[in-house]
Amino acid sequence: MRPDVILPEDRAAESPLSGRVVFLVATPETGAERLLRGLAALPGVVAPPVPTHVFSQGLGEVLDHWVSGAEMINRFVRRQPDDGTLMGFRMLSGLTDPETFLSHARTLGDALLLPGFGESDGMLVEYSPFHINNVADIVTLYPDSHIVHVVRDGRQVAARLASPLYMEENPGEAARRWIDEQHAVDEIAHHPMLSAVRIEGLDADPTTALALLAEAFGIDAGDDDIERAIAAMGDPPPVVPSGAAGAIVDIAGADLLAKYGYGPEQRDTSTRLAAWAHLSSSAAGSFARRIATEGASSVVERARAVASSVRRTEG
Amino acid sequence: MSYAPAQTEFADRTVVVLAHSRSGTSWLLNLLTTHPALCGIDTESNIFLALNELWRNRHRPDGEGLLAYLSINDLTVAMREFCDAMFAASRDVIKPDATWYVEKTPDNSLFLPLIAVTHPDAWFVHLMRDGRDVARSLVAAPMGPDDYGKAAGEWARNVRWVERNEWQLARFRRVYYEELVQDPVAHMTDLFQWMGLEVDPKLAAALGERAGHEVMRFGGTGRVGAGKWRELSERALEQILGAAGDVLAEYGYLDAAYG
Repeated sequence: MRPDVILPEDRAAESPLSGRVVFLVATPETGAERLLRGLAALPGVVAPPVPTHVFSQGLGEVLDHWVSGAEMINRFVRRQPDDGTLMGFRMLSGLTDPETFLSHARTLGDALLLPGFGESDGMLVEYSPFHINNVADIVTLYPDSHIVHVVRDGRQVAARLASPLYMEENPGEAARRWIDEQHAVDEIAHHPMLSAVRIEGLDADPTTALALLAEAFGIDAGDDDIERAIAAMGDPPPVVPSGAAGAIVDIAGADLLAKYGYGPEQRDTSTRLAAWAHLSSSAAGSFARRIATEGASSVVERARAVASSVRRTEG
Repeated sequence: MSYAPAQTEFADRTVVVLAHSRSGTSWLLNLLTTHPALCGIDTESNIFLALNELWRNRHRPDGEGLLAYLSINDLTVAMREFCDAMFAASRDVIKPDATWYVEKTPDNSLFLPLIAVTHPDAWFVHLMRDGRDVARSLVAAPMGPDDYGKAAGEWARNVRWVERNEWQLARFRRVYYEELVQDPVAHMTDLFQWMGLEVDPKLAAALGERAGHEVMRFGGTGRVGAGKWRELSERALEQILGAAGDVLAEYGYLDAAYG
């Protein structure tokens, strides 16, 4: 677990990277790479050539080796009956206090990111596919950084994630990934440096969207700069039939689709029924149970009823 | 070879204890920190485990990760500075006058390829203890395995892991727990002198006093010592020999003196 405090504001201000890092967080196939290319074309902005995975394979693990709270510490650490000494796994929290730890971890993070700036004294934009699950870690260590949640219609994302490229087990897993990863961002919903970009909105009016982002990051970008950024982004990918994965998102991710302004999608009855059946089947049992525990038990009940009627029809 | 990769107050002044859990690492820490210059915590920091994912990130086979722009040297310096900053913070609380730091997390053995790069200047002490005693102690511990063969196998793997990486460690000593128990003052004096530290009569007396302290005991009632495996059943000993007989034999634990 990570410390239950975040890096103090004054300590973040001392960092050579204070306010200079933008983390794009998104599920793969959302279009974050395109936005990354566009932002990196703006003056003074650099982007590492590949995902750094610096939080998902590095700093997240460092933060995870902190044990917070007396209850957790007591779970791992036992007191020696005769001389009262402590023994066991106290991890990094055995060495110092949380503020000092975060300060040193920030220094470590800066040392990892700083060479990525090269000669630039401007901004660094980063996107790594699993960082959307590390948003709380990012806020803990980089509360001064911008976090941009890039969103795309989950039905399209899930349809692409269900391709063999991603090795998701089935359309349900692809749908679940999109849903879980969007919910992961809820953990930092009130963070003042968090913003959301709908990729469809960006593609509809890239000039306005990029100019707004540049302004938010404090980048002085003229019309020519924005044009270069739009060209760097390239064309949006074609819309694909969202299929079974999209149908599952329609049901299980209805709240998210509504939240991000995605309307209903025309879908044939058999695909809809298959989605309901998938949600009620044993393979999706844990998925359905999770949805149930999150307050949508009626969805599960409806799924079971529909699946039952499908089986009766097929029988 | 043995220069610290970063300018740090703990250059040439870090001791890394290598041993499997329940080998007496806390006892050794107590002895080491009897010296006024040395300090360290008696719980497991797992600091190298915490950094291991970063190390793996820099070595990803898919071409992604930090290798795109971060040199091995830059990563090594960053990790070393993090370690020493954390050690200094710990030192400031537990023993502000200390100038050396002892890191004794048992699993350190498993991260030697990383530690050898971040701490080439460290003094590595491999605490070797009879695997039968380690297995007995592991099974008795609340967080240990239930099976003596499994416990002994873990110990043997740990020993092999240290052997496999020993070549990378410029300052390496193997210390036998059983010999340390027999004459802690002489062996600790030797160890301190190897590290270039003085041992005066006052310290020698303190070592003798502290050596008898019981540490890290789970469910046992005896004092620090060797050969407790003799309390084990024949079945348990068979399991241990089946899993770790070769390592026990190589290190002489099956000879008459111990067996």
